[in-house]
Amino acid sequence: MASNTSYHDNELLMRPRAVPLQRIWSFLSRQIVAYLFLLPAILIFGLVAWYPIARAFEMSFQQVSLTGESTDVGTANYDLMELDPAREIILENMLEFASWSVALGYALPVILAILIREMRHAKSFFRIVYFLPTVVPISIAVIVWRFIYDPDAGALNELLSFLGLPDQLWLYDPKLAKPSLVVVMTWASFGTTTLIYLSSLMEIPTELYEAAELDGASPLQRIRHVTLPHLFPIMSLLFVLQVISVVQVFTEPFLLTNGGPGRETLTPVLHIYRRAFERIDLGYASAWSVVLVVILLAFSLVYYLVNYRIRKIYSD
Amino acid sequence: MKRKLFILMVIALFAMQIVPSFGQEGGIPQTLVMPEQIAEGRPVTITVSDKPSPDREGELSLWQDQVNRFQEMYPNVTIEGLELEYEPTAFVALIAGDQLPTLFRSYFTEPEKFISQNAVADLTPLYEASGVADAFNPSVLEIATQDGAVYAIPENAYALGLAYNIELLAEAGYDAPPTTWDELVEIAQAVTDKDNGVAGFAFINDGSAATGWHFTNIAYSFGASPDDIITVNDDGSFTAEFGEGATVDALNFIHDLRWEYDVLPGATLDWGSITEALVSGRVAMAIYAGDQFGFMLNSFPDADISNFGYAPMPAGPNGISALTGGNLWMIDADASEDEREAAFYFQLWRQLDPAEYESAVITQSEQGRTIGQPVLPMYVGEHQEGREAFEADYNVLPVENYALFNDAVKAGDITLYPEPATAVQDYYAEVGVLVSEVLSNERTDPETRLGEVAEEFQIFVLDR
Repeated sequence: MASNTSYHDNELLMRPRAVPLQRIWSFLSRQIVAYLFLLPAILIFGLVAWYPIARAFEMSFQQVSLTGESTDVGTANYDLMELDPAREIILENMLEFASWSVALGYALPVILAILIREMRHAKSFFRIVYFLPTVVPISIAVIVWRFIYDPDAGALNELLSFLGLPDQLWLYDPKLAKPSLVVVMTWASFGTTTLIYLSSLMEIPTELYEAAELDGASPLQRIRHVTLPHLFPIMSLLFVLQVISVVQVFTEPFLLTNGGPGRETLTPVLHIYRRAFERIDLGYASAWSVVLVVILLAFSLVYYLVNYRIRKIYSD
Repeated sequence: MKRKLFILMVIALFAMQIVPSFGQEGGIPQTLVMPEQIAEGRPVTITVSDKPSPDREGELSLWQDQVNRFQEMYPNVTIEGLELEYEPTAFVALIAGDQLPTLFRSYFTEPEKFISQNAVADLTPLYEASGVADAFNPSVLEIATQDGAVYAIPENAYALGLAYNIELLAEAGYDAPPTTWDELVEIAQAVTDKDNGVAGFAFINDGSAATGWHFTNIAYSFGASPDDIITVNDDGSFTAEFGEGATVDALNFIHDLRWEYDVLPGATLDWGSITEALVSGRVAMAIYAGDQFGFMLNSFPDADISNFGYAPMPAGPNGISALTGGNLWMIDADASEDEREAAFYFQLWRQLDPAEYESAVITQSEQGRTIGQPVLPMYVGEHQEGREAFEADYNVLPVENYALFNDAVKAGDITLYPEPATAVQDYYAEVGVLVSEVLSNERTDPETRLGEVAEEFQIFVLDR
């Protein structure tokens, strides 16, 4: 393949005046097989991902009719967002959910991965145990969590009364609803994250640890100076992914709290869902979706820049 | 329009009291004349929602037998059942995907939404051809009507009332349910036992549209009318008026029930779990629709159903007021003329044919299901009288426990209100969230927040 490419390149160099069409054809004929292989994936992605994204963008400038013609309304849907009384609450909830999720769930998989790696025995057993929640469908898990959080007969309140503590309204108390949901989200996803960290940890050459041990490093020092620097890039990536996924959380509040109590667990996607499918206001819902994408892109960009500077300082 | 509807409803109910019950002697009259042929004998296939799932064996065999009988009468018609039940959000996707069943069941609140999307067929020509419109309670048929055209076949109607646990009330020294909201507070306080998880009073409080539905009934009895919630203006536009007046009083009352009297349950209850809370003795009194007793009987066969009574809603400043609702059937706008005809007659035949009705009642009674629910009359005149007389022999539910409610309906003591004029599910959903906010946060100010919600509703729903 490489020699072919160079042959064609040479040929092109020898005929610099080749018309653009010929150049394109020549380029395509070299790559055609590869593109044919890609075609099914491109078609499927186009149909179920890119087309809906493009359509949502278009719909955000329309008053959408499900059966007839949609009409263009310019930026009316975006202007309406200014008047939406749920807007501030949703943005606040978004930040609070992200903060709770980082506080409760960001460090946990790292710690678990390090602990599992340090184990001499039963490593694979614990790997499976921690991964198990990930394979439980979330709708089933939610039913179990509803039993756990039930204020009258739930397992958690039983435990509290056994310890002599007062019962709590886990999902119905405005102060507890968000962390309670974040616990469910963390429980459902930390297994996958732990595995990712674990596989990254496995890449660290044992010689590094041996050298550190010879230098008299304690286990904590080994983690501080060997493990964490190695994990940093993946931790950084997973931080962004976690925030992006938490901001888009839907299933847990939809099934466990319905956005309540009041609007305490109303998330952007739940709001979008309600506007789109309860009010059949697809144009307005699409405007929200586009804004959400912009917010997440902005977050990712800022984070990337900050991270880039940190790394630069670190490497200097 | 809705004021007219309310007046019609009251008239219809009074009319039924005045009409002598001569129909009872001769059984149920044949109101529906079925056509010789459907679609002039051309083959036609229709899909029909709400086919019972295989785990509901008795209902499924009843459904299948009925379909078979219809197909024998009209061999050119094929009926395909779908185990699909109405769910507002799921049906939006079905409209968009052009996948509505030919004939499907929905709520009283929904025709407007389907009509606005041109998704359902105008059934007026079929009603005119069949001549059955007169058999229906006119106020109920009005719900299916827009601009003079009828878009649905109403199936059943209910009015909200108060279900109560007779034993729990008796233990607290009360041998009758409350007749006013003040009495309700008094009894609820006496019955509430937080240590043992017993709440004196409950309504659906999960913050969903159903919460808004129950709240609206409380607002009605505090003096609001459907028109005070969403006003229909002369030019056909709508104004959200629920940010002031009786709705605020009702929300303040809910605030007090939670934060001053503390008689409400801690758990959130939805349409299904409120029944569970009643039968397990965790709730003593609850706002309830009469057709939920059928659900109670079917879903909790071990529960002692004779321990539950049904009374009118407690009276407020506006007397006894009850919100009505129900189910109806609509036909997909994409259905051909032949399919519309088959679907229309299939549904009417199921509801109105005396032989079908009687055999369904007998079978249901034998299976121990839902005869005798305290619901509203769907038809008028001899047809309704005949049905009531026939059903009396097959009651499965303890109808004597529902006498307070049934008698009050018959005596015209309850002011029956329809649901607000437009975008009802959206309105329910918004106030449902607000009720949940009031229940979870003591500092929520009902007046301010209700005003905000009404303003948002005006801009985002009514003005769009």
